[in-house]
Amino acid sequence: MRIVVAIKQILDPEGITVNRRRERIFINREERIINPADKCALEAALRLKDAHGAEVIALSLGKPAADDALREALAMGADSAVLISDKALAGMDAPTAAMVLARAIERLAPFDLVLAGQTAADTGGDQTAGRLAELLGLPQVLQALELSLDGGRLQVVRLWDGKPVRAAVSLPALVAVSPLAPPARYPHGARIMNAYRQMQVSVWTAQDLGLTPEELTPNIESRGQVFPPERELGTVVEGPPAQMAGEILSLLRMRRLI
Amino acid sequence: MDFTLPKEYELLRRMIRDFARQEIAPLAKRVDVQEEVPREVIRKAAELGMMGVPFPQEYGGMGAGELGYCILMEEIGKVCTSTATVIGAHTGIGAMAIYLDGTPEQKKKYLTPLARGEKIAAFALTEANAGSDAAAIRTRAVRDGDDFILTGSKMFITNGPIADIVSVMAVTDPSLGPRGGITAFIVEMDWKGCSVGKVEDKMGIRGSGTSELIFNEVRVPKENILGQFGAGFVTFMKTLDVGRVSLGAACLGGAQAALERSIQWAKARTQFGKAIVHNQSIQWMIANMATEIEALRSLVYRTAWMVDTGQPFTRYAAMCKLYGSEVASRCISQAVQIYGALGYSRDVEVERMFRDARIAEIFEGTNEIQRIVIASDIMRQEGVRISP
Amino acid sequence: MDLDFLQSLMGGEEMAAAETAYQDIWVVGEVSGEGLTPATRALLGKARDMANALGVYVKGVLFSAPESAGSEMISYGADTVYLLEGAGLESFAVEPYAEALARQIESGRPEIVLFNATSLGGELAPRLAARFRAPLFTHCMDLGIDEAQRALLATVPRLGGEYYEILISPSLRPQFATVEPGVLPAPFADPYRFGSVERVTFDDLPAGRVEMLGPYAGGLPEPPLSRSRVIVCVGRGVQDTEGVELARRLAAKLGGQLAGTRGALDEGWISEEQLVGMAGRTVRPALYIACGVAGAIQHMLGIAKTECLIAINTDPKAEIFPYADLGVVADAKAVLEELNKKLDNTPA
Repeated sequence: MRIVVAIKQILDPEGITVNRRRERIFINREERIINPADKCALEAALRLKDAHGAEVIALSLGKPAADDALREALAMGADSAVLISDKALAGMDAPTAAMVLARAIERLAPFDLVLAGQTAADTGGDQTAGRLAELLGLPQVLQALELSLDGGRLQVVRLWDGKPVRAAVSLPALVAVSPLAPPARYPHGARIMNAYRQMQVSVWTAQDLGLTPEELTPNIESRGQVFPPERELGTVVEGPPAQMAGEILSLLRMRRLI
Repeated sequence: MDFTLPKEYELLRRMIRDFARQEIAPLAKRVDVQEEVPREVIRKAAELGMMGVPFPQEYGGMGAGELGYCILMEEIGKVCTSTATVIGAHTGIGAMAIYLDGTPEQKKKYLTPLARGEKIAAFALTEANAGSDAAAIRTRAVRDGDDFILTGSKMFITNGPIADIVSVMAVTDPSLGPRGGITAFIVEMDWKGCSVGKVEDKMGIRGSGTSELIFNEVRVPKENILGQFGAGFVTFMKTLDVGRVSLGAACLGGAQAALERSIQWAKARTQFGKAIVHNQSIQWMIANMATEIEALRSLVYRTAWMVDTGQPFTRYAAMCKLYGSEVASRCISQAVQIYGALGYSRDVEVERMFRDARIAEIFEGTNEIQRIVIASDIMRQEGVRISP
Repeated sequence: MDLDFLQSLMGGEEMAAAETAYQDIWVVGEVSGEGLTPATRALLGKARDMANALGVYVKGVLFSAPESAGSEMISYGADTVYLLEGAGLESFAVEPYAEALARQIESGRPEIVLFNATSLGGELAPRLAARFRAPLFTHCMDLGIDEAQRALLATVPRLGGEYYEILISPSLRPQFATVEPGVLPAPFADPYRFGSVERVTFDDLPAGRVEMLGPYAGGLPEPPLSRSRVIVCVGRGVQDTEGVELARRLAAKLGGQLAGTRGALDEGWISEEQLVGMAGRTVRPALYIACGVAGAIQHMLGIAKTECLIAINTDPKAEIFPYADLGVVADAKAVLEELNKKLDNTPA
């Protein structure tokens, strides 16, 4: 079985502070990590590999620094890694990114399974997986929590509007893994050393994928940022327990927490 | 000059930091109170190669050298000194002796399970009457055919209660003294005659077991001689040299954690209507801590580089241990001060860190011995021989 | 209308442009139980406002829905509703659903297609956007119109909602967006609004390739506390294990996890893994309910990035209150009991 896992390198949101009052974004610590949902996808692929044997190929589209994300994937247990990196790809929008990834995945054919993270923790983007499925003509299972292989059919536990449901699909297929899926393993130290010292990351350019400048023209623009109001703290209420429970529930409803 | 950490070490540091935060930090208090590092933690660490960081991959190690090992000790030293001590005594001296002076067969048989963390190592040199004066040991190994009969007892042995394999220093020829009369042996603790004696009730690093090891006519085959017969003194000096670098790294972690805690607390704690971080007295403490820590960091990692590149490093290793232990003690003491009364409470980590830090000024050669090592190395270059 | 007459009025070229131009705002709705989901209603209200700004129609789309749901869409602002039907659309499968909707879009040429950011919207929107090589804005918090460019302005969350970014695609049509349920205001229904409901039947849709096997009953591994969205935290103020149990039940009902303070750990109510604060875990949940927690700094440092903090404590001077979105001066155990009771009585 050949599994392609698409991963994205992002700035660690933990290192970023948003000051709503001053309407500014501060990058306190510039640490690049694998997008959490993508890391869960990688873990899902490695679990299938552990259980059934598989060749896991990590694929990333990004700056040359994304080499580190792929090395981490190799250290976790991926067998090979491909980085699509090219100056021509800078400033790409989401539709273009999905198109480029699809082109690269086609080049990695034959494959049985394409995995991707459901959402990006930085941009909040939630479309790459679905776009890939369409562009590659694959059936899709989104928001997956657990994957298992049962006689050539992939059994998936996924979330549907917040509730876990079961789905099954024949391969080849695309599965988008939820950031709520089991967290990724720690890479073994020796594999970390070898990922840098012995293993290779192939680099593909726009030309390698036959991409033309017209195809890469961005069509989405930013019109600036908006900051939600600062939290208003310190409201204190007092009263009998039943009434207090009501106060709490109405706040939860207002904040869409239930 | 290039001070950039190679990329693989950046990823290694991140992995170990995540592991330390997720798997070790939440247990640090329990480790201290219940006086034990759970075997489960050791097992998990071992699965990731953390019990054999500096050793080659062909012997089951991580292949990350002294640099990787110092990163490990710094990151674990940040969250739990007891755990760092268990790993340090195992890797940094117990298994290190076998790595430095073992034959290929000994490495295959002993270093491999140790590096994989399947077995735990200890290093047994100190005796009741031989601490700083290590040459005064009395444990005897007497030749009996192809074997040696080992008799004596060792004191203050870190990992003593849990060790499977111990590098033991014994007198093989009392007439020759330290040069030629001491031999190192690899001893398996489940051999007949080996036992664990009194377990120390310590001030700090309470999760790391320290005990007496008793050898009562233990039969040791001659294949288990570690290094040259009669050259045990060389083996243990070499081993302790390397161990001191990573001990400095663990101290660096402790000091760094104290600084981070101090800043965190000073930002949150309000007195006289403002966060205490705005008090110059606190700022000075933090500036001093940060400066010393940075100096220590440079020293530790440069020395690790010297070890990995095969340069003589004895003097600098002693400096790592000496300066590291003092910086850790000073920084943690300052952190306790910044915390105020709370810093004296068992509810906060700085209290435990304060107790844990003190030992670093004592074990693996007291700081006084380190000064002798440093001074004698300096004096040797000046043509002066000094004796302790 | 007489087409030739129109053509003579507009001139041939302009007529051709009018034929190919994308216009109208479509809302792909969802039905639950008796009628439209609240999010669908709100989306129609928003679509109506934007359509008025653009001078175009709002058209609703529903899959295998009753006529009444179509009428409801009209009452909330739709001018036309397409009820898509046919073999393969009885229950959700992405291939037939996407194909039917794609054909409808091809013939109807909307400039904007809106979905709820639900599982249905999340399945369909990216596939359709890819099919039409079109932009898609996901989980929008608000929508607007740039009238000069006749383009959608989408307010999308960044860094999990810490701030928002306004995006626009000036030239590509159609424009797709999914809108986070619950963020748009609920509109009023006008039962007298006029509109048409059309049934559109498809007979050659592709079969779905993913088998939906129903609810999953097995257990799922809990995510680590540091990633939990909802945390109910107990301190000594919950008094006893009964109080802890009430907190645990509340956490389960809210899809969250139980945590505790150092005091709770010392009482043996929680494990080290559940300890939150400087000595334990640092968490960043959307909701943190602190029950009988005093709010010592060492605890507060671990929850600094909470989005919504609710604190229940009998002491009106508890240190935690100034940091709370809502502070409740009451007995934590009693309030927990009431919360559980009220949630039991609320239909899911």
